[in-house]
Amino acid sequence: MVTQIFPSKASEAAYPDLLRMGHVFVTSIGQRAFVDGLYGALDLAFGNDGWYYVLNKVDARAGLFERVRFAKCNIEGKFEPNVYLSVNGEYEQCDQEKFPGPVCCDSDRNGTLFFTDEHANKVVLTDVDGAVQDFWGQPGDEPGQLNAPAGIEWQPDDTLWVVSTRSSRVQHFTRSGEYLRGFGSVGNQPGQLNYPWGVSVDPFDHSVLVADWRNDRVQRFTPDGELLHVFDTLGPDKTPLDRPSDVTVDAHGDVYVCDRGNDRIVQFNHRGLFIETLIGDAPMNELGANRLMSNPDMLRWRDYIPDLDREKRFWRPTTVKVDDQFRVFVVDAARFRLQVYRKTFRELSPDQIDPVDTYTDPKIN
Amino acid sequence: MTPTNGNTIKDPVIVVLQLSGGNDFMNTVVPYGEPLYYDFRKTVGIPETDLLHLDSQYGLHPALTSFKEIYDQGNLAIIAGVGYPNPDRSHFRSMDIWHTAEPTNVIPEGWLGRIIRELDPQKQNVCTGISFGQGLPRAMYLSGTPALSVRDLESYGLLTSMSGRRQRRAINVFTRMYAPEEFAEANMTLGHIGQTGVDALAGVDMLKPVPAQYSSSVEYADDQLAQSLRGIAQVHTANIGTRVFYAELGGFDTHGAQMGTQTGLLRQLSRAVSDFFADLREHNASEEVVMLVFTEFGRRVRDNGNGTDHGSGGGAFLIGERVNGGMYAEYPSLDPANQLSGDLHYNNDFRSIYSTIIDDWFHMQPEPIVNGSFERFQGMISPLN
Amino acid sequence: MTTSTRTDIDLVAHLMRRAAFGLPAWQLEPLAELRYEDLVEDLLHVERHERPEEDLLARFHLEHANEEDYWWTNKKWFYRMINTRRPLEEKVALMWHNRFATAASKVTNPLMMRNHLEMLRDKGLGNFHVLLAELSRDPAMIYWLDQQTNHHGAINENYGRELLELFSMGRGNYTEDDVQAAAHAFTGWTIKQTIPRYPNGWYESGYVFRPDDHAYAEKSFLGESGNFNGSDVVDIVVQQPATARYVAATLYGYFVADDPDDEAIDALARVYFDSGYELTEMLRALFNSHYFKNARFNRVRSPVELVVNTITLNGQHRDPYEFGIRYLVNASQAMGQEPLNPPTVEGWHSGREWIDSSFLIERVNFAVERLGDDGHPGVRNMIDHVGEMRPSFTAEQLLDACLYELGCWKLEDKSRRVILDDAGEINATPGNESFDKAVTRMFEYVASSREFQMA
Repeated sequence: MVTQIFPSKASEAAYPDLLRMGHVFVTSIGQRAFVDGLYGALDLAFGNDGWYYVLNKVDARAGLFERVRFAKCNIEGKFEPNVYLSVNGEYEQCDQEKFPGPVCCDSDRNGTLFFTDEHANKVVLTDVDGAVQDFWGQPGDEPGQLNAPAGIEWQPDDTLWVVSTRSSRVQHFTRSGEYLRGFGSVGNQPGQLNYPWGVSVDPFDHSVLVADWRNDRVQRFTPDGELLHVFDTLGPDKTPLDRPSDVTVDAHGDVYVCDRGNDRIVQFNHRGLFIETLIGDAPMNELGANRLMSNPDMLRWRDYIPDLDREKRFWRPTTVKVDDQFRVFVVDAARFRLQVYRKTFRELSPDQIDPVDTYTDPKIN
Repeated sequence: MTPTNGNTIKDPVIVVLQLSGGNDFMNTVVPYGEPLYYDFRKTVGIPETDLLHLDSQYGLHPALTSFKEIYDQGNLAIIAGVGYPNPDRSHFRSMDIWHTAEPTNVIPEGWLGRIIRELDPQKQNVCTGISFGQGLPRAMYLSGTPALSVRDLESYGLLTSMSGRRQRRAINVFTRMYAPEEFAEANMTLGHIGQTGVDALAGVDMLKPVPAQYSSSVEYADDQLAQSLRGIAQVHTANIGTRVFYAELGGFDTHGAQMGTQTGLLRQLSRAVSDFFADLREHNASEEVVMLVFTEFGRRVRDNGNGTDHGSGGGAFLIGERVNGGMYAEYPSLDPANQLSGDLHYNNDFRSIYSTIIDDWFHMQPEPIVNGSFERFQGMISPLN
Repeated sequence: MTTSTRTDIDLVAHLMRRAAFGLPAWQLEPLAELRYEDLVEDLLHVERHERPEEDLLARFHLEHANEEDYWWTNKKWFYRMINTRRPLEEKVALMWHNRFATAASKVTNPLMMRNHLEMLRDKGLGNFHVLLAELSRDPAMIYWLDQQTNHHGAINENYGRELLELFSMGRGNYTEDDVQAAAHAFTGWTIKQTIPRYPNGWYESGYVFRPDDHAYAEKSFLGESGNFNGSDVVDIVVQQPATARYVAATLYGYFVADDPDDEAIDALARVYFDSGYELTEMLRALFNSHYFKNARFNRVRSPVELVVNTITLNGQHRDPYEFGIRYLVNASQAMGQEPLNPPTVEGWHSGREWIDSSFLIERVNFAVERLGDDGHPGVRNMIDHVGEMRPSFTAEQLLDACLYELGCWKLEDKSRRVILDDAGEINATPGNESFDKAVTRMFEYVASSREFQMA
């Protein structure tokens, strides 16, 4: 089925050709802590101020942090105080009753953060200091309504794509909540969705990629909901996707899937061909080392562990995002950190590679 | 029976205040005279000038203003270096050890439960022990010994999901369903449940009028601890025979942002304790109350960058007019050679404090209650009578 | 009882209270169409039914993505107990949890506690030999009873002792020498060092055998001698008549009555040996026995049983999206039972000791609140089903209908008199708000009764 894997030449033109050279670990940011750490981290937004804003789920256990919280950190691993939501300076207005279920976030160029609340059924807009600018959303399963909204992606035309998890719909809104279009129905047939989670838009053809969480796949649709491609297999003898939570498309059209159930990130090329998996390779960072230095008995215990590789691995990653420098950010949720990798590659000029349509059968040399 | 209102002879009362999460004792009573303190506490240290100086070596956390006043009045005993053998850095286990006074074996019943049993062996007063907060702490639990757990005095009661006439009818039905039969029932268990229900209602009936009877010029803060202590003051001044009270302040697990968090909590503590004793004094009901403030463990000597992790060797306070204030016990050495896996090495068994209270305050034999013989802090408490 | 294929609904209700968490009449009635023996088989053959899926619960409680908290395991457990189609599996796990009581207070590591519970659920209804062998290798249990400090040359007898005293034979059936021998046999049975929780959270441990720390030597244990290790000790222990009686008494005490009955326990002990330690066979014999069928309302319900039964009736928490399952753990804790955190290795003091004044207030308030609100879907179902029984009700008819609907409950005469006295003369007709109120009021009275504390 060559036609399915290789889209037409017309839509092909925009995607650059690439020599992919794998991913190099850059840094790991954060530790297990409410402060200067990423306890409860779920999703990440790039601020317009060089800081990363990591959305943390309201923690109902401790009773101390029952408010929406963005951890604020940068590539150096530095943290600023957590950002808490407020309305007109009142933090009490943003307690657990009002926003009990933050789940996904994104940002625009001007420093507005957007997040979805799956229990309030709202999309919330706030500035980087946590001052709420707007929130909107009507609960329900009808077009334009929200039932447990999750994945959210801001678009350069100032629109938002929002996943409505419990209505199995993906919907397009203006930033102020005006409904533009949407698609999706519940089921496991190609093109149907079952508790979708993350969403991303391909910058080249504006197709919409959805992490079809409970169907163990990612699907690519046209903005009008026509199915283009199903990502569910990595090829023979490779573990298929298991409850993928997020998907993103980088500026080459490469697709990164947060394969949460398998604790890995999977990279495909824009044609849907499997390229590489990342399983996590983060050594302990300075924050963590400082932390351990005050715990002498734990330092001693570590000497009795032959295999410390486990602590480098992802555990229940929730989100993958790629910045404009091709750095791949993974919210490694159960390990309370961001793992950052850099995609290494060479971009190829047209004369360095044969056009796609000349490729018919494998050659050997 | 316990004496009730109007009696000139007062019965000793204890209020136990639990600081949950492991309060960092090194930043509560700060050994600022020891240079090592500032070596270990590079980011989580309190400058000497900010401290409330007790002497040339030690100072209280700046938020503990009322503790400083009480200390200056001679009514605050500071017990440093409190712990138990083989410290356990789990919150739950360490708290259990404090509650049961048993560091080796895991046992269900608490030391205050045993005191309550001694105070009221015939179980005549279901209000002998009352805890304010979420559920009954294990310290007050002893099978067959009644102790009440009150979240909020105003709303405490039976069938609280109802109101008005519906509730009155339901309570009437409950009362009659649970009333003991004139002759022994064939079903012993139902009889036991019935009697327990009658006891529970008795407690509810004793506590119900308490808020209405109370008036005070003291305005407590809105936080949970202040409200708990206000409830304790209400019950104590109502003279219904309660001898053991319990309250809790949580949030001391300061792995991060310790400076701000601990300051906020200690400020709450300071204000609430100050208001509480002012309230009692206003009601001429302060002399018979001592308050024990404890935490399950101290924290690491070395900070972790902006907080401190679980350690051992904590500290405790005893507060009251009958308490002879001062620094009891030696402050543990910060010298790395004397540390215990990066913690202050405890030099006082917590059961010494319990034994002192049980013996000097309640005039009971401490040994069966704390399960062993421990040195008392001589002269720390002046008995009531 | 009318025909041979139909079962007395009171008996079905009894079976479902004991082997499950109780059901309302509208769910009992279809079951009463089946033969009792088939109902028992359906409960025992857990493999006939899928376990409830938990992925959606985890999805809508993402604050627990990191599994940092044994309360998350507790919340999942309540969700399972409410939604499972294998209730006996959960009941048996609860039973073993109180027998092999292991507590997060000391174990701390939430992943180990989670795995411990999974083990009790997976093995609790199988072969006792396998269960005891798994228990001896369970990391949470090893840490809980200090087995990792039981060294060759410096034994810690804690696990060896509790294995004999609390997990199998019981006091009086072995000597101190046997305890020592068992402890020696278990030397070298330990856990792997876990990666410390700082800075990146918890890691699992696992059982490991360290030959260099094992006391390879002749040991004399319960009259046999050999170069025994821990497995041999388990093998010998399960063959003991005292163990058979222990398992029989455990099942009897949990499923039949708080007070033991020697004859019944002897009979169950025979099944233990005849079946080769199969717990399912013992339970089959138990549930089909006369003593079981006659043992109505003679056990005090544990807080977990009370909470799960109440929620089963009121229909909450079927939807994994629903908020507030944590409050069920809170409620149970306030009643004196925080699962996965029993007070000691002896478990909770059950029976009458579940009832003290503080706990009783919590029990009554919880059940009354949850059953008195017709906004809950299950309460609505029950009201509607009551309404279908008659065109109109006297007070006594309404009380009987409500008792029936809540799961064929029975009240003592005194309680009935008090409730009917309160109700006075009524003529309630279904289909309006005042009828709904009258029904929920009856539910509240029953839920507040002494009898509702039992099962």
